[in-house]
Amino acid sequence: MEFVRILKNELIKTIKKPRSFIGFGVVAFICLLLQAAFYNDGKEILSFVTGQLENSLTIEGQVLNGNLICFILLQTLIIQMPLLVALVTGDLVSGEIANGTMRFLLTRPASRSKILLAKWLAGVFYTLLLLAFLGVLALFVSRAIFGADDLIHINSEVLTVIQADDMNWRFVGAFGIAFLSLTVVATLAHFLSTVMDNSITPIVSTMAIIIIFTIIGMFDLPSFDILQPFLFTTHMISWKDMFEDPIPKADIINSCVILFAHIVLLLGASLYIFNKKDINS
Amino acid sequence: MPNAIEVKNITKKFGDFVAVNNLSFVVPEGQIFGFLGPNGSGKSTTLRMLLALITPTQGEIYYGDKELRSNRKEIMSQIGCIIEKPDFYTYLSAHDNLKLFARASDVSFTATDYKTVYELVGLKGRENDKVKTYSHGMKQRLGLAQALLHDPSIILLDEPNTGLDPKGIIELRELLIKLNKEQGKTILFSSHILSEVEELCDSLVVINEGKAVANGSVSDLLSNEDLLVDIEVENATECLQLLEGTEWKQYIKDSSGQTIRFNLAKEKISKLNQYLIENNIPLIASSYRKRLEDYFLRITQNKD
Amino acid sequence: MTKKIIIIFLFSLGVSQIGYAQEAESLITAVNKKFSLVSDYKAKVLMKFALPGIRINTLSGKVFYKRPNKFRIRAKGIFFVPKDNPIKDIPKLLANTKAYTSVITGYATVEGQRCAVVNVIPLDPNLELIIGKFWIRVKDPLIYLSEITTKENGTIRTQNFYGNYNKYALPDKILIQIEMKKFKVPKLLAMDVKKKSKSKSVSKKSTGEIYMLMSDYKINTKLPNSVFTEK
Repeated sequence: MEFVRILKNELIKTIKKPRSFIGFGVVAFICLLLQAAFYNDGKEILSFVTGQLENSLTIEGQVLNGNLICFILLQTLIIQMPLLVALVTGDLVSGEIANGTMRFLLTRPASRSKILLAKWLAGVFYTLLLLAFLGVLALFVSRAIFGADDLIHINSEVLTVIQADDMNWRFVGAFGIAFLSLTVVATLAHFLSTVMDNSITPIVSTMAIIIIFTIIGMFDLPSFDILQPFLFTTHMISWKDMFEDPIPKADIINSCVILFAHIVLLLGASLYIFNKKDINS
Repeated sequence: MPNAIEVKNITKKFGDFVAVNNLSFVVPEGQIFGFLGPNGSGKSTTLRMLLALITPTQGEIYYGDKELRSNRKEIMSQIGCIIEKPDFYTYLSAHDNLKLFARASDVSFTATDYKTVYELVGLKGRENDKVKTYSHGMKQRLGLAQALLHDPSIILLDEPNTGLDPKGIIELRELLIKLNKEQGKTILFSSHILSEVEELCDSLVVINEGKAVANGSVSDLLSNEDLLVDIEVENATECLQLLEGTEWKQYIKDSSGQTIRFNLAKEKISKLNQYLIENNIPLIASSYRKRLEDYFLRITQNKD
Repeated sequence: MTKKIIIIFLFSLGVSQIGYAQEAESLITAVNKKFSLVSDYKAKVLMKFALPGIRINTLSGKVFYKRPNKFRIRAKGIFFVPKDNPIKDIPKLLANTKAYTSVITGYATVEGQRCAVVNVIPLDPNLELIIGKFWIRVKDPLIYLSEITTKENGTIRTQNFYGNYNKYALPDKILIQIEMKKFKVPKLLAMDVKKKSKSKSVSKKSTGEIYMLMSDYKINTKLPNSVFTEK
């Protein structure tokens, strides 16, 4: 019961914090902007990819549809979503230390571990809300504007047409994996927040780590081959596997295990550091 | 009488810097205890160690017979505190802030209870305003409210008078007396207003450079202290000539203009005044400085 | 004597060529006659795809055709049809007999049927069509195999399998083979950072196949034009 009370406090603080609304505003802006762009120029944009087929084939059906728009919007997960998540979760601990409220929080009976876990959970909940908001805008609003039809899914080697009836459960799976990926980002920002004493550095550091790891993952160099399977950024786009045919279950499970391991390690490190930390401000 | 707090040989090092050095003192239960020290003496560090915000490098802290690190949860449920300036979630109202702290302390308050608290600390009518609109004094009052929320048996206050107007200072003093005398709460109270400390505290500790330099009841510590007494006369030269060769000469410290300064025990002031009047030295005024101030300055500047 | 033999040989070759051309024309005429029996039709279709670099499930739909050149496949979802659609283009091509010459270049057996290999060459060199090759059954003419070669899209090969609708030259099954480049997108554009390149050398050109299983033909039902235009 004590933990539930502390968690309730953390949820209230996280939801009511002004910066928490920034994420929703940005997601809404990007979604609506891209939807408007595709509404006006979608065919030209798509012809960049479908053009190489149109020499010999005609594509029938509604290629530009809500499912495709949602899929494209999910691609932005790698870019703006980690920043928006880190913006809030990177502030959960260090922000309170910098503001001075942490010393009042820690003079309550609840243990530091419970307080930290409650903060982490509040951050994860915020991540879930933000992702759900993206899901509603990306999927349901896109379908309302563009209709729903089969999805053309492209990877570097094959184009797959996934039937519309098959989309809902794939999207559920994709969002589930995306949530796990963003939870890693939230946990990383949260961990850095326990190490640092101001709220900007954890946010910037989280983004720097994501960018560096993404760059390492992009290049087919022998030196990077050893690292790539263990980088969480390599697995952050595993949600795309939900749109392969057949779905590579082993790959997805492997990615989920790696992501989950990151969460456990980072959270464990956060708990250790926070319990030992001197609160001097 | 059991001890509310017992600090045993605590030391805190930050790298090579020793902030607190083998400090020991006790806070008797049911007393108002003064905790004094100049800026940078290790006062804040000690208070934070008392609240488990900082871990001592060495030593132990006991609340009653319970060691702090092993019994933190039980102990913290009995402590209310203000450490440095009270900080709150400025994007929330005062009432929302207090509800957060109440929930964290597992205290269930009714609307009437909250109303009573706001009246007690002088924030009635402002409880629904966002804290970012509060003045420093109002935040101090809110800080007091959150310290008292859960009816703690021990209250630690770090300069609670800061930012309060004269009325607020008087109200705080009366509140602390009430909490101590009527409810038996132990109060550890640090302040730079030494007159308040001398008036309120039963005992005190003075720390300097991380070490205790004085510790005991106020009356015991100040019993042997002379006062600095300023006598203002119409003709200081005439007065000095009168006192030359008398027993009073040994107590003269210095003179300036029409004022002569003496180091005197309190009970001798009236006798000096009477002597001067009997010898036709017109007195304009007679006053003495707070003893604790002098004592404090002396021991923290290593004067004897 | 030798001269005479040569002259006779060349004469008979010439005669035979003329004979081949005449035979080609009669075969095409017979095929066109069957085509002309159909003003329009609709049918159910089951489509299977084997296109390089493209994965798409089997899907079912309906085919609509109206002479001379209206054709539409309506099915739920996204699918691919050849850019130059032989089902629609062949009847139109063969109907305009004055626009091409035709000659039998040989005989072959297709699906157990003896077929004449008829080359159709357009008279106008500026047309998109370079050459059309048709394997037409000699007895009761039907086109069993065709290869249409155009300037822009290479060769489309179509194989017809007949059943109940021979009379109308409407096949039960159609296999269309098209030359196409393997679909490929750069890893970065596809955001494919996980995938390692599996094949080092991939042929750029390869053949795609579309297999159509036709059934339940409804012929000459006076299809409205709206069927070919509405969404």
